[in-house]
Amino acid sequence: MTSEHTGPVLPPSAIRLRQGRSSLAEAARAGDLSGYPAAASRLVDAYFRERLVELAQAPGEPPDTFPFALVAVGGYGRGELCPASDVDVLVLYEHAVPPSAEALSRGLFHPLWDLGLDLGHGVRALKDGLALAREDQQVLTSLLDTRLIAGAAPVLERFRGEFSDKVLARAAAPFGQWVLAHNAARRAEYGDSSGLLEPDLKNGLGGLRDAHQIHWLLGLRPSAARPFTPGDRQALDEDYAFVLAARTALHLAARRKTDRLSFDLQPQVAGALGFAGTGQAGGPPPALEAGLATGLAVEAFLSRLHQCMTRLRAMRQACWLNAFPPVDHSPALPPGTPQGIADTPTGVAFAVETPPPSPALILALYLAAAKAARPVAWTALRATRSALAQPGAQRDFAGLPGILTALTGIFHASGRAAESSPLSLHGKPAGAVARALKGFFAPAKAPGAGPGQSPAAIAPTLSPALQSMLDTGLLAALVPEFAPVEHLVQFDDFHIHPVGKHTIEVVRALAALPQGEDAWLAERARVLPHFERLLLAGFAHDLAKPERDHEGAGARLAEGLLRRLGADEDTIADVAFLVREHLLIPKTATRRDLADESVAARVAEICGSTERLDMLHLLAVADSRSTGPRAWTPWTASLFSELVLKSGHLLLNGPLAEPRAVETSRRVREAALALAVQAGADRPALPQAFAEECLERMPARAALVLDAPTLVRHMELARRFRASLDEDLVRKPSGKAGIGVVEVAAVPLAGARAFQVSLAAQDQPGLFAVMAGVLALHDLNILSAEVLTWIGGPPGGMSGNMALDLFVVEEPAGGLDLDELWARVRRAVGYALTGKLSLEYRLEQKRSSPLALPSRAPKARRKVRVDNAASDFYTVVEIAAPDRLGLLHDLARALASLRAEVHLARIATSVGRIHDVFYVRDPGGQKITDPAQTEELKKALLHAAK
Amino acid sequence: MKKVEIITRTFKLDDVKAALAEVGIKGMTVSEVKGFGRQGGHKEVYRGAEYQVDFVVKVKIEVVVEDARVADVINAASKAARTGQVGDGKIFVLPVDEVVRIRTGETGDAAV
Repeated sequence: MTSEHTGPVLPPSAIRLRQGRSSLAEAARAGDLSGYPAAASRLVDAYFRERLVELAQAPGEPPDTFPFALVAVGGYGRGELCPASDVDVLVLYEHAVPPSAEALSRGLFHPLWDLGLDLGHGVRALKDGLALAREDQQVLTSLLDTRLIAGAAPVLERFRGEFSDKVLARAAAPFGQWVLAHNAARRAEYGDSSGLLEPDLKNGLGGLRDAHQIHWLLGLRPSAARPFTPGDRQALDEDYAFVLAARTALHLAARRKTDRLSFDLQPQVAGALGFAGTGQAGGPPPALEAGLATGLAVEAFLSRLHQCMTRLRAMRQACWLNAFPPVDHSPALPPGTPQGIADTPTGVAFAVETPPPSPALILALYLAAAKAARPVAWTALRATRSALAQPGAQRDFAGLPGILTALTGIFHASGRAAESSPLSLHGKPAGAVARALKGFFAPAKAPGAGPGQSPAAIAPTLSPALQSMLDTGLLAALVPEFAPVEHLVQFDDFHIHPVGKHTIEVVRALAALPQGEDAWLAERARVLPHFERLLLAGFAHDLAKPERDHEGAGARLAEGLLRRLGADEDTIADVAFLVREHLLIPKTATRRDLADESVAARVAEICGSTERLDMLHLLAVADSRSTGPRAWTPWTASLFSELVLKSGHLLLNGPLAEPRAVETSRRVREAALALAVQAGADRPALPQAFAEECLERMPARAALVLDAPTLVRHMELARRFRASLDEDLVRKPSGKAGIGVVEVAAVPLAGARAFQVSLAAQDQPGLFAVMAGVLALHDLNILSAEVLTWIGGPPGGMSGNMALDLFVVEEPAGGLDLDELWARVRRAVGYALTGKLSLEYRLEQKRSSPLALPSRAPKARRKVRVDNAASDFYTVVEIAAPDRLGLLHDLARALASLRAEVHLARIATSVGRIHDVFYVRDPGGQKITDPAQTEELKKALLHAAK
Repeated sequence: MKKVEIITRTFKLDDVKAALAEVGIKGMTVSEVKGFGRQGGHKEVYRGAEYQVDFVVKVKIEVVVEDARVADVINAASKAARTGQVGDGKIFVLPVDEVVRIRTGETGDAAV
């Protein structure tokens, strides 16, 4: 809505800059991305020079006689400006800043503000600039890249001289530590961009910042350049140029400053970089073929981007290590390491670079590095890459003897945390960064003390051998089956890594299990007789992605590859089994009625032995943990354990289907009765007769799926409901009384970061939908739901039945007054039932709030499946759809409108996608078997899921 | 366009300012304000009858942003201002009909 007649009055130089930038953006949109950053920088240079002339000629402005240098710093100093980059400039005076500096900077900088440029500026005397650089490492880094735009060159020369003599000479060691602390913070904030599906192009590990650090470290410590050849430097420049072009395209596509390459902008950015399908000019590099084979331009682009960032990250690590090699290094290679491999301070390397190492020696080096927990040196990484680039190399590597033993050894040793592994998987990210930064700021080191000597110095976190095997492509060469999935991108909101990276994260998580924090899982892992089979299954579990049945196809692939590598038949059978069934536990635990013994029995039957069950469980845990933060919650963990415990029990004690259920339920009832007659912390003692009558009225299922304390809580809930109902009956005419009476009880679920919320109300159609809607309105994320109907209501009788809906909801945000929250939920359900609150309207209002942004992830397809075979008593309805606020409410309403009564619901929601399962029956208590009705059900649910 | 008003603890001002700068907010208006919310300031009961409510000193940060940025601003500000204790403050979002930059006469998004 900018008016044509208004706007800032711009000087001609600024108008030329504006025109220049817009035609540059146009050219970049038309395809010339790589030229943009340098050209944009030249345009700003030209502006400053012209503007200085304009200012000197302006009437009334006295010419500035004090010598100053106009200096570009930071990214602008390097001569690269992306469309939304900051323009950082420094007006540098030799002595004090004169009064005329104000008019000068106003004249220079105001037009840039009016153009909307992000300007960072400083007006300083030489010595102030130096003092600031000494105090602030961020300033120091920006001053490492200075360039004279205009003004007095001697001023800048003098500044550079003093900067290098007085600041840089002493800055190297603290700077090295600062880089480590800074990188730890980058890892916590942005993650490892070289393995993320929504990478941060500048600040993530592997981003442009890594190349800047290389450049700075080489400037501070020329010795750090030792391992790099001209070829390495050229590859660095090419990778940097690619990521920089991607950032330019990203800024143009987003039309604002953002460095996170989000899903929604990827197609545009990929297109701008020439990844528009199969017709890419010049042909893709060979490494791209895997991505292109799937025919998706975005995948090919991301995979290329990841490979560039992987090399940037590896080179930055090597550069740091060479700049600050540990002073107290003592070689520690495992016994049996062949001749020709040496443990140097900067990593495990080949003793000689020529002749090039043989494939067997290369494999031995990675095994030695893994076992010694040492990084692989840059020279060895380069030797690996060039050996892999030789014609016929794939065959030589794949045909090596002893691959299986070496891989198992490397997998075993890969359990320690690495820089590239997501921080959130190790507990407390905030604490880790705080420690890292504290480590940087706390120590007052003795002069001359190198990093590594002071106990508070941060040790660099480096890539373990397994990560380097993925980075260099060695893993894919040793196991050709791995090559097609190495860079495969999975487009959903669930996975955060491409398959190759995900795979090694699973292996790493498995290898870490025996020493893990979870004592129970660690114990299971330690007693496994064949732990290596689990590791191999972790490696093989996703080999057949993205095939539809990737479990089955993966099992066949795993069989073939293990047989080729010479594994014994038992190992092959176990690994193939684990790969084939690796989704059994996650799918069953989150989507099936775990109280149904046939569910646990089916899992037990498929496994056949406790060893296989345990391995499957551990694999499922490692797989879910490594998929992304949204796939693994304490709630899922508790569901996995429950299923495994139940199945394990059946395996140990044999199937006892019916008698066991009866026995359990009798025991729970007795315990509940004994508990009810004693007063609890928050309730009075219940009369024995009342408690007994409650047990009569509650459904048989209650005693099967709930424990005794919960049953007693429900009795107390029934007592309160009875009291409120009686009061309502006194106040209202009989036709209206009781409809809006609701009672609520909520308790935290230990260890699951969840709450169990029980709501009692008069049974009426659509009640479940109302409750689901109210919970959504209060930002309570529902994990599962169980509907228990008390026939004849609470003791004392009522017309109709009492519905007792039991919801498990995710822990509400901290700081909420929980009692008040539950009271609000209770009131809202009452209002909704009595027509005082329109849930549809309220939910729609909430959806349209600027805070409820829709997910930007690619939308999953909507699917509905009606299954009458999964359960003996219920029709199981499964729905997968993109998530939105109030979806469960709408689904439940659709079910209610078709008179399908919900008895049990399992809700697996990750941001962006739901997988809900409803166990339903018709009002007569029968399964829904009429094909016409099930078809209608499917269509209604698909419609509701829109 | 929306105006986002963030009322927060005085010592959180710098954190919130930095967090807003991080999401690209370049301008803001800050004022020192007094008030009380749910915790009711400090309540003094004297002989069961008289009481006074002290106003608590807070800062109010006002920014005007285009609609699409509101969620970013709120997320950044609430993350930065949060201590988890009573008195963390509030965020209000109001519609803005028009903006004029006085020096240049620009209006609408260009003037923000």
